[in-house]
Amino acid sequence: MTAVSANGGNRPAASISVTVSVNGRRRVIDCSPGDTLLEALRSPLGLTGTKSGCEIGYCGACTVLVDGAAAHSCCLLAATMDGREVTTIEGIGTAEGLDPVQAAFLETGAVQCGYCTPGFVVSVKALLAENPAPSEAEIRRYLTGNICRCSGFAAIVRAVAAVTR
Amino acid sequence: MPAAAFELERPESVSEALDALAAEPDARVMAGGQSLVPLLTLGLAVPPVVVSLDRCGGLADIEAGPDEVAVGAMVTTRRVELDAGLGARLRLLAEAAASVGSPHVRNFGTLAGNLCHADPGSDLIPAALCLEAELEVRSAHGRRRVGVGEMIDGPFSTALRPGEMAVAVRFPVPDPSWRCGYRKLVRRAGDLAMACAAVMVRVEDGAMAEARVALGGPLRRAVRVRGLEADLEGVAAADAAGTVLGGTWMDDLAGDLLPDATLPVDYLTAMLPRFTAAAVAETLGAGP
Ligand SMILES: Cc1cc2nc3c(=O)[nH]c(=O)nc-3n(C[C@H](O)[C@H](O)[C@H](O)COP(=O)(O)OP(=O)(O)OC[C@H]3O[C@@H](n4cnc5c(N)ncnc54)[C@H](O)[C@@H]3O)c2cc1C
Repeated sequence: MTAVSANGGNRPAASISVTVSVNGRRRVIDCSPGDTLLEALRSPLGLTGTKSGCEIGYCGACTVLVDGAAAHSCCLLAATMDGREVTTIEGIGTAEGLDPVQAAFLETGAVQCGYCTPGFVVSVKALLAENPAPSEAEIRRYLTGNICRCSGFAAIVRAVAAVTR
Repeated sequence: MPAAAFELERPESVSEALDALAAEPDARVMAGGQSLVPLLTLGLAVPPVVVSLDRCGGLADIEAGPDEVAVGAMVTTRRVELDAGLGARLRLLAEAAASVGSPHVRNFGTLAGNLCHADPGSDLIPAALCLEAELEVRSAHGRRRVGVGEMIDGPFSTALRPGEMAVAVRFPVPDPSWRCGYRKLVRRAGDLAMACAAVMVRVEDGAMAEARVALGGPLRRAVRVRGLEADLEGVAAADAAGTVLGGTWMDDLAGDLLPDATLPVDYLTAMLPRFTAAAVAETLGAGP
């Protein structure tokens, strides 16, 4: 059975069930073969903090961690994620207790329209887990997978540097 | 969301994967999915079946023999970039791997998938050409080895046959006396190369005894520039850049240039020699 999706593509009925740990909780995702991890997170799971931008791996708005590694969730098929640990922006900090990376973005004014912010915060978490004291060059190099269309890069780099001080 | 529906197979062994590929000649192999998933989304690939190697055993190893390093088809670009043992023996490959896209892409994309994708702007193809790598290719009917240069026949096009897949990329280990370097030209960090050059040179008594140069980017496919390699042999290291700029080797590439509105032919023919001269000079400056 196929249903026509909003973008006109053919979206087959969910035929695959995978069990994924999402933000530390065991979740069963029912998906069709072509559903990306991004789509599965946003639609069946309702985790809309992960943003959809270019959908082809360039902009980084959809960044999540998969087994701790930064990933463009638009470039992974949900059906291949069973047994993996996925962390989305909803798993980082809370409204009452911001993660230090989120607090630094706020204090440094590293947020303009905010659409890219969840993706940047997740990428910065991956960077700091690998390299707790990155140089400015290392910060810039690591963040090549994320684009801020408001072009607020200078403040974003300052925010990351502020976390590590 | 893919433009067209497909079936997904996730075999647990290479032989199961080969059976799945034999059963459907239009099936596509998926390694890291970092190029294939965007192609599916854009409708540029519409296979009836995708055979994902993500849980296929035995493809994620780096086997380091005395004369050869074999990189399994599911070894990621990130691992190629960071693996200390591999980096010590194939530094050119590790350097090129570090230039690929973003950490996101490198964390999941594979070396073998990058070569099989045959993007003219790939960072890893010129490095593999200089290192004279071969793909180990299997199908349900047999096994063969094919040089990376023979495998790629045009933009996003390979000589792999229906039913075949690469199981490993094999590199002869170069003598440590080779100096090597990788240079990439991009407008924006993380982009595919506007131009890229992999260089290997062996210097004896101040002169270049052997040189290997591979160029990619604005070409139908990345190539070894044999005419330039011949020009460089025997030339004093100090005269290398002048030899690159003074040669006629660009004529050999004329038929393969891929100009576009932003990179017209006259720009490419002016830029590539200067870019290549800088790549060779940088490699010679790097020390053995
Ligand atoms: C935003 C972005 C930026 C990028 N930037 C760069 C860059 O700067 N430099 C660069 O070099 N690359 C870049 N890439 C491409 C990236 O390196 C891909 O990961 C790589 O080209 C494909 O590897 P993969 O394992 O993800 O393959 P997949 O996407 O799974 O497959 C790619 C193609 O290869 C085929 N294939 C895969 N594995 C095999 C196999 N074992 N046998 C036979 N066929 C196979 C597939 O059928 C498909 O046609 C970028 C990609 C993105 C999304």
